[in-house]
Amino acid sequence: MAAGVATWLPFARAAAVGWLPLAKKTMPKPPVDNSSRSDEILYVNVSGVRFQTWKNTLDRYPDTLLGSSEKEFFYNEDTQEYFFDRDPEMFRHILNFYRTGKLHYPRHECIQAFDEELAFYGIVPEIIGDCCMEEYRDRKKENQERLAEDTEANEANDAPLPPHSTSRERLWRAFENPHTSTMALVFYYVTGFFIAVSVIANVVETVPCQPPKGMVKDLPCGMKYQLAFFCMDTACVLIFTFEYLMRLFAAPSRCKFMRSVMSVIDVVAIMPYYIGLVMPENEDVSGAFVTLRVFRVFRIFKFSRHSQGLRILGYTLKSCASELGFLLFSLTMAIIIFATVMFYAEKGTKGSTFTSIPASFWYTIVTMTTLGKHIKRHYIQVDLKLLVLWTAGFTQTFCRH
Amino acid sequence: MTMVCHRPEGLEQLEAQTNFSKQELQILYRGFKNECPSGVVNEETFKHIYAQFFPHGDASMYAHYLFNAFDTTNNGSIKFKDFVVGLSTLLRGTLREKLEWTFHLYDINRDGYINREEMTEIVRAIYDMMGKYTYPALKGDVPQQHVDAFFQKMDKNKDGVVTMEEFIIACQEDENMMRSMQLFENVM
Repeated sequence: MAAGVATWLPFARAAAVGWLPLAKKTMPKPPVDNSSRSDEILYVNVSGVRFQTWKNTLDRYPDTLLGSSEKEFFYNEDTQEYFFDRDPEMFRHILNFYRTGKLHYPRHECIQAFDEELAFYGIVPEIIGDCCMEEYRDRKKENQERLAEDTEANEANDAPLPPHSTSRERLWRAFENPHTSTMALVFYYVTGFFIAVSVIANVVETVPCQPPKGMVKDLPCGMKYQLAFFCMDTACVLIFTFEYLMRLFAAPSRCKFMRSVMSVIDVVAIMPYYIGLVMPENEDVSGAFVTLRVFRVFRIFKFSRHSQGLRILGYTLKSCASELGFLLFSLTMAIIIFATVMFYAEKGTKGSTFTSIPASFWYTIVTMTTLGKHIKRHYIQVDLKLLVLWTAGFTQTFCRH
Repeated sequence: MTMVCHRPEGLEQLEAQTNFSKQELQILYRGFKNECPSGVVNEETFKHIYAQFFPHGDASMYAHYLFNAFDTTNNGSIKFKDFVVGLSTLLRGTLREKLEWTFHLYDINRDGYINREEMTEIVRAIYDMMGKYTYPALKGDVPQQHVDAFFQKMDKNKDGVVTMEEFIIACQEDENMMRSMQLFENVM
């Protein structure tokens, strides 16, 4: 509040008279104000738009361009004014800062242009008033993210290879940018095809087929054509393993590659097969093994290398992680509250389904996901589509992507 | 928030009532209007301003007494006229006017006498405002000693209260204070 201090200073000095009679020693001399008290109007010409202001107004902030002697560099003797070859629209806001002490951020301006103007006039963005600070921060974050994306896209562009690159670098480039060479493109499509084949095989093998001679019940196709499916699975896993090992070899930084999301997905996609090979045909562990096969569905995520849209979805989820986390937390809270209420409400009644609070959890979850009627406790029947739509709706309110 | 806007009387009248020139009044008013667009200062703003000048202590009590001293009409707000008249007295007034103003500051209940309680209040308020810059370090009865010293000096007839005349005479005899007053001549 530099303006305020300047205004009230004579008053503060005057009020010091009040404690003079009590002072035991002589008061020290007040600092002499060397600046002339007579005020003058300054003319500031910004690209042809003439602004006028009191000199004292500009002197309020001596550590900016306009408040210090730096502005003398821009003084034009002939026209007796300060000339700046900058944006007059932005200058309006800068000048208002001197007048009112609050810097506002104009919503329709580009954030980078605004930052440049502030840097030129020597004003730090941190003093933006509370009214505009949130908007400013959001725009700045958005801009930075977009820039980060752009640089990432630029790095992965089709610039010609440096002349003396090793075969390893060429291989890595072939993996990252499939359209640089025909081989890479072929490999790209082949892996895509095999991912699709693998996923379809997983789906088809559970479909019931005609039983072979001698049996009455319908069998899932997986059991009938066990050998065929096993061969297909082996082929897919071999291709994926080969691809993973090639990427690992070509990666410029192996540790970084192994930690990346795509690599983890690759490993999770092929591990069940190898574990299945290693594990004996034991009754006890086969249950666990069946669960492990569920992980084969992760192969579908390998498509994110092939689809930009999937990657963007991934980024969106990542950047909205905190909002999603909060959503999950509030859902859990609501579930617990309602389950407890239901349990205690029905406690006295005989034959109630709410035998315990965890039992009421199930009812609460199902009701909250608006299924209502489909209360079956034998297997999970959550309607994924509804849940996803509902989550998306909630997330949209929280997340601005 | 009701937009109560108070406008001061004309420039000429204010110039007549105070010892400021037109230019000075203009500068003062521009600053005043910038800080208080509604044209009046209330006690909260006053305390806030003083807190900014004395961040190391608690200036609220002294600001309260000051506010009452400036608010000659006793309506809870200071208009520009009160502000500028007070300033004029303190910065451009005669010695007697300054001392009278200070007496009114100390006389909290406006009964024409300063008694020990009022003085103790004022001294305590000043010590609070100075905060950790008081020397020696504030012990329990240092304000009391200060008040005793003050009464010793000012209360000529030893009747326990200080009247306006006693105050003015005693101050004029105090050389230190006269010198300090001189320093405030014409400081704006």
